Amino acid sequence: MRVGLPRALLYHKYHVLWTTFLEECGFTTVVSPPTNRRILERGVALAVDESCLPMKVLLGHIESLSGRCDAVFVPRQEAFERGEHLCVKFMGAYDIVRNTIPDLRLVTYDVNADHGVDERRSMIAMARSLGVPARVARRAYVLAEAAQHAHEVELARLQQSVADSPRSGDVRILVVGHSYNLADELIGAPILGYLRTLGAEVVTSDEVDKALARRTGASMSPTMKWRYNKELLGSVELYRDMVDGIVFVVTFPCGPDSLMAELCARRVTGIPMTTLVLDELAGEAGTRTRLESFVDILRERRRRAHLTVVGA
Amino acid sequence: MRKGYLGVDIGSISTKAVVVAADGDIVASAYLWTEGNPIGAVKRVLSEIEGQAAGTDVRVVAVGTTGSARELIGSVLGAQVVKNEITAHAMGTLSMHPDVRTIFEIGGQDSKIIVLRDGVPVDYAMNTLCAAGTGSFLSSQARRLGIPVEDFGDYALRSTRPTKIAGRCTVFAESDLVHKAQIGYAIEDIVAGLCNAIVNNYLNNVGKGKEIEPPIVFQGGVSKNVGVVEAFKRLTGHDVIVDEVGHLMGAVGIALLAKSSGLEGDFDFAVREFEFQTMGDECGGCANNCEVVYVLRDGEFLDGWGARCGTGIERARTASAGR
Repeated sequence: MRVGLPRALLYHKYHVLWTTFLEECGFTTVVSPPTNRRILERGVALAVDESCLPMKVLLGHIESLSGRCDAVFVPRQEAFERGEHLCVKFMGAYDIVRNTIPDLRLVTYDVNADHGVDERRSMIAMARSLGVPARVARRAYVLAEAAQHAHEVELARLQQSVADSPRSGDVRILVVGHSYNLADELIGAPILGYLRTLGAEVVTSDEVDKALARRTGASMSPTMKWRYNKELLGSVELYRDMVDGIVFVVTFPCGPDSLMAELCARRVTGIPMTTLVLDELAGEAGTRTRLESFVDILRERRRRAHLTVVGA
Repeated sequence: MRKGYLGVDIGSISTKAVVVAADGDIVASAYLWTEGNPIGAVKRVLSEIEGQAAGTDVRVVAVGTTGSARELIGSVLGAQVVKNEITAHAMGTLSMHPDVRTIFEIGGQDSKIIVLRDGVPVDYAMNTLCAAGTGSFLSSQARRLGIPVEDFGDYALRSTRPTKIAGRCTVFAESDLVHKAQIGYAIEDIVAGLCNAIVNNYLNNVGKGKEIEPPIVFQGGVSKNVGVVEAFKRLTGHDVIVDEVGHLMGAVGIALLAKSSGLEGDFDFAVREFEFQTMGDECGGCANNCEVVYVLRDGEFLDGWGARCGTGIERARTASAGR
């Protein structure tokens, strides 16, 4: 059986876990191509107007998989820990897809700590329902979990290597955004690429020890509900002394992200920040003007700091 | 013969150009409407500049472009420097007000704030997705009230009791405005309310979290509106400087940036004799189907933009060769 994975939403976070698990269970995995204009246009057409941009992107990817696999993989993730929340789109993704493209065969698993549904049991149950022997499924999960862990350790190591290394460019910028935005070919990639062509060294909020970032984020805002926004908030705190400026990449109309950017604007002082709000209509010109002038300002600040040191 | 630097600022609404001599002297300046035709506007602005510069001993050795059409016009003029308007505005303003600490700028579609310390820009912000509270918003409200936008400020100054208007969103402001007019508020109080709304919106949106310290210089088309200037003074509690030549700051700044780049090249005002044509095309090379825009000079491919990879530009070049 060929299982299709849409290159959208949490794929960018859990692709190692998911592909390892599915392949160890004996399935062939098919991943949709990096987001392109056509995928986005189809997503916009399929989604209800009020959907956020990443949800529109997801629907475009799902449709692009139809005919290329036997079933499409769309998990339903609600809470990894008790009392913690994920954005409603992760909770609703499966049902939205099922109702938007009814003829498509889907495979799914749930994670909801509030109801005692954990990832391990849920993924194994999904495999069992597809005819995978229990022993194989259990082993697949152990391997997948280990691979995912190694992947996350690598991301945490990248954070440490930034801390340990001298700057490669003249300015170092932290770009804060969900991995499904930053890693997206159409949403985040042009921003990261443009910053690099301007000569800036770019680190992203994904390159961080996630558990540490969640704890740090929770201490910055004890009432921040959303798991992934805690990680982003934590990344700001963990990186703030190592970078010259922070760029928030927010997709319209994301509530958790706008709350987070607002919170940082008020609480994190002494470092320049800018927020880019993107939607499916965003032209590149406005983004470039903002990024170019932001980098100019960071350079001037560094030059001035340098002059002060030399003068002293 | 003195060296001169041509700075051109091509905004959505107006086009500005100056020639700055090596010693900082502005020897020529011009200002006119873009009218949705940046190339045409630049040709017209250049003919004015050429006339003014003809009587001087200044020769243009470098060109800088800024504003939303900076890339297109940069190619047309063979500019040495193409830079965003925020940096250009900061540089231009600093040349005239070296002690400035805050720049407010409200233009046709953008509003921005630049924070400077010790003669260096250290922070900025720009409006996000929408153009609420910018010049285009003001002129559409003026039209709705049936008064020329030039008289807006005078109306506001005559008001004694400005009414409250929601300035967050054009749509809400408009319905508020109509409502206030229908329940009998004087037009002066409505106009003054609108000026307050624009300033409140600016301070709570673009200016949010920024350290607004004097000296403050206010620029952009909306700075010509005395009602908005007064509202800024009242709501910030500081004096607000509006420069006579505030509209030229971007052009002056980019001219100075062209000078400090050290790059020089041949510039001839005869560039406006060329026939420039812009073309738009969908690339069709892949699923992204990028919209490629390119410019032809006397029928020959000059430059192109908008493609995510090299294919779109190559296709445009080939298409224009076969034309």
